[in-house]
Amino acid sequence: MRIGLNRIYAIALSFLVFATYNVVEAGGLSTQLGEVVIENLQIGQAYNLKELANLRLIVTNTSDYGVDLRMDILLPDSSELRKGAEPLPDTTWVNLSQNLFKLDPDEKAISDIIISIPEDDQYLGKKYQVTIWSHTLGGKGTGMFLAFGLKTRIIFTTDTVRATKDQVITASDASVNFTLKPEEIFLDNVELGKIYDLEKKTGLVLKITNPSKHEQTFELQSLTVGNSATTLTKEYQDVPDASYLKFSESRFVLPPGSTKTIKMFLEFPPKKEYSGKKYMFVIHALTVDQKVTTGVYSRLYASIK
Amino acid sequence: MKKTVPFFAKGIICFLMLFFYASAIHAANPATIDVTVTIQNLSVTATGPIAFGTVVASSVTVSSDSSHVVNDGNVTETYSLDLTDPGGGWTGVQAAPAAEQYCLSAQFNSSEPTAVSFTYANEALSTTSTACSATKFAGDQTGLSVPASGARYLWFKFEAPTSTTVTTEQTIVVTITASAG
Repeated sequence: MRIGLNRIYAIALSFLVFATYNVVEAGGLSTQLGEVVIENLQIGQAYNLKELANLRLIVTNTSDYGVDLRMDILLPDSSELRKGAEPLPDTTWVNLSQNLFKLDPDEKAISDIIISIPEDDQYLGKKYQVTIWSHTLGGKGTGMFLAFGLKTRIIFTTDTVRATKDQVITASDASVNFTLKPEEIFLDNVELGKIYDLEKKTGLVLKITNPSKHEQTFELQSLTVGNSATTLTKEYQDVPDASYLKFSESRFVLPPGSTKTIKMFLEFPPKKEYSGKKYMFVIHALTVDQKVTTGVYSRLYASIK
Repeated sequence: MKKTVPFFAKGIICFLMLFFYASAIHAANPATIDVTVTIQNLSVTATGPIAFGTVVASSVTVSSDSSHVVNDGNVTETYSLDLTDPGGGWTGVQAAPAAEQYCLSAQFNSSEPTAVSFTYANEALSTTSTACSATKFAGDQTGLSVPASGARYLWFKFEAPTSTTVTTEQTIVVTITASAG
């Protein structure tokens, strides 16, 4: 009888599929590049982000075992779009120098990201978003396996005007390889009208490190989310005034390989409407006096009492 | 009397119009290129594979072990889940499966959930990556806005085909993707 036969097949098959016990192992991926925003690119140009700002996509296999990894260019859906960006018109605008890798444990996949914008005036003054999905393929053995993925968000704007040939910049000595730590700062039960020295309150200070081989001048800014290129974290709202957060220094020169420590001071004025709110600040460290400005963001979250 | 514009004057006017049009396109100096990176160490780790033991046709099985999913990055992450159908002929569906179909569902929960707590609308996996939310793949835990170092337990329910003629081994891959936010 056919049904019975199928059932037998199913039972036998199911045994093959799911009764194969495998040793439980931990798998995963890691990258430092969660979001990058590039402003004022020129139409009709191709930009390798490594040449422009020493920026590459690096993904580490944190699994206990070797994996096959692929990087795909995806168009974001409407729920993933940020800050008024629109999906890239065509995924072929973004290319990777390599998109398939075989990685041993702790091995890194490294790829250049190349953005090419067609020579067409309709692309002047636009903001586009694209996703690079780095993900493992399959798993060892048979049964139900877990694979891992990370989404890197790339947002870029095009300049509203065309540059002349000698104004076009597609390469520079700029680098985003400096670090700003910590990446996130949380401050709870903030009282209105009180000045907080964050080092005394939390033990935290900002640390900016210049790992490059040349001296760099940095600026430090407190920004509202609205005035930054990044997006609000869920459950938080934009701080009404970025000047509520101040720094002990806001412009300084860092010699090669050195680290600067900066103190932070927070003061919310005693306004009733701030009570019980959760606010997000953006801390922006950027290089200055260069053809290409590079910056990194940290965030400070203040929950008002 | 109607005045006529000499031919050379028309040429000058055309030239000036073209000049001003071109100037408008290059009206201002191009802005400096700014590259800004939000410091985010995105990282996700999970244990696997998931064992279901022996299953029979038309059976419903909740995994006896969960996958321990950890945000070991330094920023808040939201997970998305999708599956890859086995190449041998079974197709994943988001409803009660028929012949050659299966339904694989996933739920974040602190302990082993009951089979009835999985719904097709919110827990059934598909080949389209679906972001976790307060309801999607949610039990008493969610994959939405998981803080740094946050750990979750991900459980699976497998509904087997009612019948099958496939006689080769089948492998289903579930991909957990982390994105910032």
